[in-house]
Amino acid sequence: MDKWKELTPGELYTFCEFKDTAFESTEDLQDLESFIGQDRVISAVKFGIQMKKDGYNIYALGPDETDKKNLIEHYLKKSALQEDDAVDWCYIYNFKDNRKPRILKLPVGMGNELKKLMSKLIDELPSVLTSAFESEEYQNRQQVIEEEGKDEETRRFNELSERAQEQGFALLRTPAGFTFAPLKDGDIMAPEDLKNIPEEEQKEMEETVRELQKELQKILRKLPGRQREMREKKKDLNREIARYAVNDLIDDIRKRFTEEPDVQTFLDDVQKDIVENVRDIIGKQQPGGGLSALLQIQNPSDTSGYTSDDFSILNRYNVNVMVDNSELRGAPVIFEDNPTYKNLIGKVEYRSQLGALTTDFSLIKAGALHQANGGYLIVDARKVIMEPFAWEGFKRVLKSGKLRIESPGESYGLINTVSLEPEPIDLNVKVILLGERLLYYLLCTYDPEFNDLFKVEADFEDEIDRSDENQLLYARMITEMVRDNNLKALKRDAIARVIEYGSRLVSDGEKLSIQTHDILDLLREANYWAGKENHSLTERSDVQTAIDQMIYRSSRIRDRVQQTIKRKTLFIDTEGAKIGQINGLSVLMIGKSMFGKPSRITARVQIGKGEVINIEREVELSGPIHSKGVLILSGFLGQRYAIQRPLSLSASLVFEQSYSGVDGDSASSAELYVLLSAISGIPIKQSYAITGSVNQHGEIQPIGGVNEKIEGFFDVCADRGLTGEQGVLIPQSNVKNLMLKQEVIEAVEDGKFHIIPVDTVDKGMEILTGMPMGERDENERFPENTINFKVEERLNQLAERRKVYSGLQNGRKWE
Amino acid sequence: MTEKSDIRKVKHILVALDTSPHSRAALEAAVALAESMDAELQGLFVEDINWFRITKRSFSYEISDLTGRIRSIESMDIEQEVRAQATRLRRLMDEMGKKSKIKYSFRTVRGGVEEEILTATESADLITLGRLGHSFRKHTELGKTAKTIIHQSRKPVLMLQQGWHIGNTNVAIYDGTDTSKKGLILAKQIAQSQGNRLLIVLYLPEISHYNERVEEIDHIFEDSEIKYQIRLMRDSDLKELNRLIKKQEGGLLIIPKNSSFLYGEKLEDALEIIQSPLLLFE
Repeated sequence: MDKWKELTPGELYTFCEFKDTAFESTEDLQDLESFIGQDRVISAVKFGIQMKKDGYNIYALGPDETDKKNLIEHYLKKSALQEDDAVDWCYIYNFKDNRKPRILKLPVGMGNELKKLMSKLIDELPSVLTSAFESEEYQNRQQVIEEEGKDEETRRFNELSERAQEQGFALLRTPAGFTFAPLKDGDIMAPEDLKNIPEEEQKEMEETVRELQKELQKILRKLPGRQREMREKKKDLNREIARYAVNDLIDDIRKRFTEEPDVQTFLDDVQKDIVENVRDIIGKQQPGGGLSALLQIQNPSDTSGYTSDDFSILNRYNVNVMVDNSELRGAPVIFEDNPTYKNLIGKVEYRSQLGALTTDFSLIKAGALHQANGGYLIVDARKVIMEPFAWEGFKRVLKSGKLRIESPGESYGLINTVSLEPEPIDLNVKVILLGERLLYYLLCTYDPEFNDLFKVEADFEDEIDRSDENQLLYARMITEMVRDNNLKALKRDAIARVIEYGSRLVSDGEKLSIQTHDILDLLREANYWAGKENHSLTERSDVQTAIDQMIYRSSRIRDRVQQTIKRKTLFIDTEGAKIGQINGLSVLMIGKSMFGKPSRITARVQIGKGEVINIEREVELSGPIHSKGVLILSGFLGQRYAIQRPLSLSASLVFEQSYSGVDGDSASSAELYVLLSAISGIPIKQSYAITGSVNQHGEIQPIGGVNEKIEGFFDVCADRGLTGEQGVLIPQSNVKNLMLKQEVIEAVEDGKFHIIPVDTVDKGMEILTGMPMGERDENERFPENTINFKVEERLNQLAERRKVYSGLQNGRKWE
Repeated sequence: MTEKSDIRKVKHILVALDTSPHSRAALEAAVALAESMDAELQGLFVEDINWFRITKRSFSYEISDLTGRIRSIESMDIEQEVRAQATRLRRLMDEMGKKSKIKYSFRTVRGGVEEEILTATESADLITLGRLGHSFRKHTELGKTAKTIIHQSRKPVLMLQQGWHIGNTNVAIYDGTDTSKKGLILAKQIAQSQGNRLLIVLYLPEISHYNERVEEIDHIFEDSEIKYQIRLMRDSDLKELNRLIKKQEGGLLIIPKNSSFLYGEKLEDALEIIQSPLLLFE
């Protein structure tokens, strides 16, 4: 039997030492100014930024605790500064179709300039036009047109009237027109007088009337044409005056935008529209005019007070600067914190006026994609997927390369009311999604469009090697965090403690966690405790206090479990030896808390057909990995003991007092030990707890949560009083993961607790029983007084009994 | 003389109605005045007797002013058309009267237009009518009815045409005569009731009486809160008067029929030059 070698205190914890580096505190260190351990991500992000083809958007995957946003933003902003300036995006009225506002793309800063100038135009327009149309010249010319038209009509009527009078008739107005009435002595002839006129004369009179009527008809029939002519002349006059009045105003604006043909076209349209609608523009400015009286027009460019009718006249000339990049240099980098559909795609707002909803181009609002157009947009993946319609809308826009503002109802054909259809914008944006790994893999598998749109995977590391160089870089990273968050400086040993904590976070003495959120939380809390102690600098003890307090705050359930063990509600032996019973170890994760807990595992053996029954599995409390672990035990038994004859046992394994599910195979070695104990009848020391997965060859495989498991059993033993006999068997390959708490290390140093690495079942069994395992000799027999011998002996007995039983059953007596 | 004795407070306004747009403008002005002066308004529509006479002939034809179509007309046709006009006018009056909450009445009478209107003016304090009716005359001209009423009525006559309103500023011509004083008092009444400003055109060919005239004006207005402005004119330039009225965004011009300002012009010709609502009085 080989003598086993337990671990020394130095092997239980990797202290941080800054070799060859002299500094007293973070005050002596420089900030890191880069990102530690994320070379893969940096390479991916740089590639994604430079790759200008469609579909090369980036998904940055990693746990929430990694500082994905800051890293991504840092590189994007750096790159964005080198790129061309963004543009201003504006919406303007479409004079051809007011339901389809047009887009106007302007160099940065010119959007607001145009808006100001157009607002000024709107302010000045009514008074300029009013002055022009109240000018004497206009009044005179208008009067001349009216009089010209009227003169002609009046002349003809007067001529006809005179001619009629000469012929003895008066031209009279009737309710619906005109008539010719015979005169007598200057007055209308009475009907009785008419009767006295001879018939011949009456006929002549009738004839004369007919002639006169024909003349009157001609005059009347020409009237509409003359009136139309007059109206056209008036319109031409209005146009001329309006054009003259606004020319200067518009030319001033034109001069500022000579390089912008779209602005020139817009101004042409504005000018034309003003000329065509001048009467409406002036008319709407009269006080007390209709509905406007209710809404109190304050300022023509103040859009809040208008009805849609009033609004549409002057506000047509306004400019809606939807995205103003005047303060920006380089390309935009936008982080959208609340990626709803509307916040991403944009929206058209409505105003409520007198019970009706109205809208126009000035109520088009930009979304994050507009803001980021020409640059970069960062969005949290989970948030955008959880928002209704957001993910589908987002993908649609990225695929089409056109940003069309429409409500989800409209895009899905649910709403068919008449609304605005703003001109779509060409989209040129690089999207970076930040999300968890699982979400990324699910999207890759189940969303057929995802892989075409997000071809660049930026996979964040969780941990880095704990080399001397990296420890120093880590210290600088801590320095930067301390400065950025206005915390007290940390002393050298405090920095070291934080680094050791970084190792404990990843359960690996050779690695450091770079999930910076956790580190930052520790620094903040250590800072707090340093303040409580009036330390000018944060010390190692402050960091330790912070760690202890974090654990304390989240360990109510752990303490409750320990109490149930202490009060013997949960049965755990820590002394003596028992057949078919062993202390297994499991780890529980509840909220932010993770702790280890010993569990009693028992085994019973009887005659059977060679199956190992996992009782947890029978009642569906066993996860698949645990079930697999148990099944592997059958393989081990068969390989070692069933070469010559089949296994004739039925064994049952159970986690005693376990009423919730069990999964994982970290207890499979414990299960094998207890099974061998049950078969062989050799008792197992209860002063040990076991953790480790086993394969069919009996090799002990590494497990997770080794620190928590050891500490869990240690706490039980320490609570009862350490006997010096207690300890934990762990897989050899988990030694590098050890970062145990100080109490355990001190107990090991004092010889009161033992941690023994094992790499085979044989070794573990020897430690637990104090007996040798035994190896087959040349006759394929195990030596007596070995564990293997005892196991095989018992199995053979079971096989014989089973043969007898089978023979009796078949009615034969075996000799 | 006392300022108030010869001008009665306007309590009863008569508006002569026909279906022309000028008459409608007159009705709107009459309603506004009745409302502000708490006066009663009477609308009068005269069914021109001549319409009925012409139907009693063998060759009675009417030429439509809209289409030029000729049709023979019977008295029943005229009755129907006239009744339709009366109904329209009554409804218009009802609509305006109720909106303004004034006391009003409407009546129809058949006879000679000018005669019936003149008869009705006996019981009125103020008459309003359109400058002309349905006519192909120029809008600057006065119609036959308007001319007759101006000449023969002893009561103040207010005339408007389509597109004109009383406005926010009234204009009164003052030359120091008693009649023009009456005009100022009337202007004061109207401006006070309407809350309007008043522009007083002080017509003084001779500047020597300027201060005296200004004192007279101030005396007339000393007990009122009306905002008024005095503007001197030394020539009776009607075109200049028009420009002044337009510049003030006026407004009703209140002027005596026999005002010295109108000397040298035949009254109708002078009135045809003035391009604003007119209130003429004696």
